Amino acid sequence: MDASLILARAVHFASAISLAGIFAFAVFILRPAWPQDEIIRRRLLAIAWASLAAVLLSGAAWLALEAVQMSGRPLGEVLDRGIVGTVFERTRLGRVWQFRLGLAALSVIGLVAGSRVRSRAAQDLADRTLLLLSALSLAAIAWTGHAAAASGADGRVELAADAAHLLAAGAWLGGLVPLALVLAAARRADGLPAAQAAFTATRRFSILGIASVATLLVTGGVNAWFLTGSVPALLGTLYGRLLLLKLALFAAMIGLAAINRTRLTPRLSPADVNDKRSAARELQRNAWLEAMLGVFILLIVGMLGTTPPGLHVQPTWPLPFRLSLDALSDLPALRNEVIATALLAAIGLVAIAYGVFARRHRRWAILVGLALFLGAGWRPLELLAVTAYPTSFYQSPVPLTVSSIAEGARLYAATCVACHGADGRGDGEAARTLPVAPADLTAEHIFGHPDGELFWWIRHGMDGGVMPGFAGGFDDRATWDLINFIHARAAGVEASDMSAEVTGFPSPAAPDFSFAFAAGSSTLREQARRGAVLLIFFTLPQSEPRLEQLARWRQQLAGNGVTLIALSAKDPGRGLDDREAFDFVATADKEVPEVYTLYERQGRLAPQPPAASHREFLIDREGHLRARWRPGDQPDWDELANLERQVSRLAALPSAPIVHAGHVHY
Amino acid sequence: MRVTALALLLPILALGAPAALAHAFLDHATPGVGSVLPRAPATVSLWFTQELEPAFSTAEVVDRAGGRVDSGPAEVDRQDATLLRVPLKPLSPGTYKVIWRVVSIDSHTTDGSFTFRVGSE
Repeated sequence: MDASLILARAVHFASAISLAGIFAFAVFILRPAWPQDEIIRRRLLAIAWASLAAVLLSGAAWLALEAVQMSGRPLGEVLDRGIVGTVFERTRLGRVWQFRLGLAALSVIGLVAGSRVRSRAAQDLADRTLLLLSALSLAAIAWTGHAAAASGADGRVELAADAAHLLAAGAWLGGLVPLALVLAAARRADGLPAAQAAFTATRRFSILGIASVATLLVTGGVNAWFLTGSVPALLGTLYGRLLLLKLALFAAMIGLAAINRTRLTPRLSPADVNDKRSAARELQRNAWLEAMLGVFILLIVGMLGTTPPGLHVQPTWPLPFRLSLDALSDLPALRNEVIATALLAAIGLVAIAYGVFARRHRRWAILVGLALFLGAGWRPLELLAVTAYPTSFYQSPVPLTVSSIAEGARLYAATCVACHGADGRGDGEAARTLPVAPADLTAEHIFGHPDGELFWWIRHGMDGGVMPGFAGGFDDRATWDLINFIHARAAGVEASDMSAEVTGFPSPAAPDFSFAFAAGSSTLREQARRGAVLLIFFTLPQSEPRLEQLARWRQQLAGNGVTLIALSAKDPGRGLDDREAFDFVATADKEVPEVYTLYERQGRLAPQPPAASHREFLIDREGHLRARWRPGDQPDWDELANLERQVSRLAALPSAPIVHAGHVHY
Repeated sequence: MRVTALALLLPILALGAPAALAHAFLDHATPGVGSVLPRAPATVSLWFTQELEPAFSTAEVVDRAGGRVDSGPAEVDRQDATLLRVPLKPLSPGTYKVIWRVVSIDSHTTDGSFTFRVGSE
């Protein structure tokens, strides 16, 4: 993280918030509470001038430091060569800055006018105008952040949430210093009008504060969801942890605000006979404390903006367990126990809440509630907790491609075969000598484990070292390749009953690969997205009549959205350039036909067949292998009508996203 | 209470977050990452997960010896700001490396590289 950029951002947020907060305070709080006080108004204008200057200076620093990051060149060069100008003129950030610079120029005019005019109406107009300008400038910062890059409806929600978050921060945080000034002035003035003004201002500010806090919580929740998205990302990434720290500071601010509202503000009331000065002093102190907490929050905000959001970082899970609902779907008795104990714990909570707020039977309610909550509450947690590892919530960054699977297969053959066996059934030669039987890597359970836990076991071993760890043997990338291979093979075993009939059953994901026609190159995924793909592996001369048949059907199939991709099963690197009619014959890596034999087993226990016979796959829009045909299979794709019927069934399937190499969890 | 709330929230949240992307990552490319092409391509096209800043997004293509084989600067497509194109000189059979460095419109920088091969081994 770049300390100077963090500081520039934090100062910029603080000054922009202060500027907007001052005029929100002037318009909504000071005007109704203490209209006749000129001294406070002058002080606020002085702070506004300082804030505006800080906005401009920190904004310029921010822009220059961004230019350093964007261009990857040192600051001196960035300033000399006019790279800052390029950023200012030609990037999104720069355009937002142009807009805000315009607002700042108008604010200068507004401030000059606002400090000269004497009539109350003119002052009001100046304050309102300045509020509008500074609020627009504050909200516009949202267009430079993470939210600006999101697209579609999500993007608009995120952007609106960001802008509202900034404005609410301006209204509350930016009003704290003005509030402290009013309280200080009221203490000095010492008279009924001053006391009345302090009371009104504090009460009005507390209403504005509640509205702001509610807005901050809702919009902050929306943003946290968009940028971290999960509990593991919150607990396990730098971004998430900074966010939690920010929340903790925010909670402290709310705590102070709650004391102000429930305990101190009523003591300022003219109806209250106690000394108002001590209450005002405490309120003033709390306002400063809150403002300081706010400054720390803004420092964290400065860091957050320069930290990759939790969503993009592999989270390091900090706990030795995680909660899993997997057991619930299998065991109804367990489910009932979880529900019953959770209910008891909830009743305990209600009793505690009653005890806190009620006037009678307080101690009993709290005791019974605590007993219930603690006695029953641990049970659902215990029932649902499963062992977790630091990498439990890692997600594979390596897509399911032919080259990744082929690399994983090589690693498997070199490293895993001895124990897990050539076919992965846990029946390798060394298996019998082991105290714990090696796992069957083709069984369904393989899809029940999160990717991150397979990752951990491969790298760090399991069963007390019976399975050794291979962290020293291969790197992260190789580990994911191996996981891709294990998933692909298990999905193939599970799909061993695939037939020439398209079904809606969970289907394996087709490993992606790139290929080239004479007309140009593309990838399987790309082609599938356009409708469907008929993937053909052929052998010559046996497949010649079939290729001629497909060449004749080609136009008609294309009309149904089907792309034909034919590859030689033995030598996919060589096309059939000399045969113009066969322009759907492509060239690709030699590993493609081999990897696709993973999906050609004739039954769960049958061996993986060699890659040397004619076969075809129908692949749907999302990239699932939905049907497989070999000459002679029924329904026979040898007839166009049969093939077209399968294609229309393919189009009618409900959309299903790819999960775990094609295995779907319920 | 917080633990219970967490326990209830955890499976829900773990199910999936909306796909917000705040950095531009390479989505896919033609020629594909690690692909083998029978014929030399005329351009390299890179699709990213986010819109790019044209002024600061670049890519170059080099051969095994490190010599530049791109024939001009990389340009962001006018219609589709997630697409970056690099024109190529005529390529002879061999392995080539595409090196990209892009800035997304929320001003974050990412970089990366991949290789592709022209002709058989």
